[in-house]
Amino acid sequence: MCSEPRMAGSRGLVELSAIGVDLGTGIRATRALDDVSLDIVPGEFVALLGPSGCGKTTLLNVIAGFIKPGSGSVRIDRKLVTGPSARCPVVFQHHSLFPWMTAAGNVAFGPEMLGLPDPAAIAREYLGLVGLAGQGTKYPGQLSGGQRQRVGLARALSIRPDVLLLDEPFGALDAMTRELMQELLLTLWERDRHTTVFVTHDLEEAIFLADRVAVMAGQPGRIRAWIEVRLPRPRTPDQRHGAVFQNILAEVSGLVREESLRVFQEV
Amino acid sequence: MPSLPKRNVVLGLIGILGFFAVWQVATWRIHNAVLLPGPLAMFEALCGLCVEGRLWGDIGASLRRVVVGFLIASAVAVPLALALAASSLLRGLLLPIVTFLRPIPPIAWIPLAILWFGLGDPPSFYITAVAAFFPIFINSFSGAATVEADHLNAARCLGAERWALLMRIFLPSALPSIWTGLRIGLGQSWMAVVTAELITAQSGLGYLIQLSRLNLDTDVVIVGMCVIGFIGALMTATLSYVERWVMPWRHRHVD
Repeated sequence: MCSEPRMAGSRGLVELSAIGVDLGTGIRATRALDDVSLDIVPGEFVALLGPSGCGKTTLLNVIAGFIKPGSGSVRIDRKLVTGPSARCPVVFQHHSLFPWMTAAGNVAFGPEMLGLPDPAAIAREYLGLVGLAGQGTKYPGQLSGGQRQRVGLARALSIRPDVLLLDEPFGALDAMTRELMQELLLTLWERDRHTTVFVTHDLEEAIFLADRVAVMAGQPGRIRAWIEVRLPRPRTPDQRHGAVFQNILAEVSGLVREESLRVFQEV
Repeated sequence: MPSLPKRNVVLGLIGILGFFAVWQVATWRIHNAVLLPGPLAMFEALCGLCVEGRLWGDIGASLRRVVVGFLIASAVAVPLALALAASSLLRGLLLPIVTFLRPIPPIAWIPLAILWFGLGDPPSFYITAVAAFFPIFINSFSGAATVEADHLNAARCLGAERWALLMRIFLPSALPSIWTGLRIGLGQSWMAVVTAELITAQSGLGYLIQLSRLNLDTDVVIVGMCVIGFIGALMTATLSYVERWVMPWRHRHVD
């Protein structure tokens, strides 16, 4: 069985309007997100970048439907998001593979839940796509950190999502593995062109991957600036060293540094 | 590493032989077969009971009562624990009742068990079930209640609904704790069956002990106790051994 790539630009429109989220209650309540609005067009790759505590993960969780915003609304393809759904699966930072299922079992889980024909074949196909064709019978405890994140990626992609959400998925990996994972992620994205929202605190990662980078600021969490990344696609590793990349890096770096410094001095 | 289990077996055997030696010396000093028969007398009694065939019937009767009670308890406790972990409504309604019933020891249920079920097997089923229920329930509940939020969220955004979450996420998450509960529950159930048989039954190891006490056959009393200990240990060991097939993921790691 082989599925054809989905039509680019057809589905995966994400619209957030005036999102406000308070976390905690009473005197310990914090304004995690304040009046955040953003539109992501179908097939676009957006990175949410910022220091810890700026609300980037909260924003991702709002899009995923894990957190109900106190005010504002989330729409995917014009449909209001009221809870988690198979329209936008999430790749988590760690510990999210089901340890009691094999790698193949993890990847087949989504297709099984959605009643797709032959989940086992879909699992084989997607494990193959992330380069783990021979590892299907292993349990997550038997895989390395990088392999686990590849299974996590395959698991999310196996349900052919309109929107893919990633929450610092490569944050716990070593630098070399992280770069290879980024390249793998882009290869898969070029193939399917699902709308992608990628949370990270790694500047170079955000720039290398995304079409647009939202630089976020904390307390209260909001989007401070949008940076367009006008690097040609498909992206290649040597672009990381080019002048365009380095100029954007300098610009983003200035913004993030300013923001981190402000938070640093307040605390 | 592979020599470690072997070493433990040798140490264990030495310990047991030492225990028998001390016991034998003590019986020589006390010199009263009613107060303390020696290990040799006990082995004699054991052989006698085996040949007579009476011991097998008693073991069978006790085992049947434990297995039936244990299965009833498991069938009620595990689903109930999962349901309570997954539903705050059920939790609010039922958890206080469980908390209130839990401290009542199985032996305190014996009068009611006799009133409700008469004599013979049925009251013993009830007592073994009550004894096994609480360890199974409490462990299953705490296991299911500590399910990882990321696992639930991951399953939800892959399309899992309520029933699938329960069977595919809550249940396997709780399985290590459920298994601990089953192991403790089986042990409790086995201890309770002896208590129940002392009072309500006309067969079984507890009944054998009670009858032999009245006849002053102390050697048979000790045979009964040793058989209870041996079978209890064997049941616990079996459950630990079976675990690797029930939860294969807990026994496979990166080399």
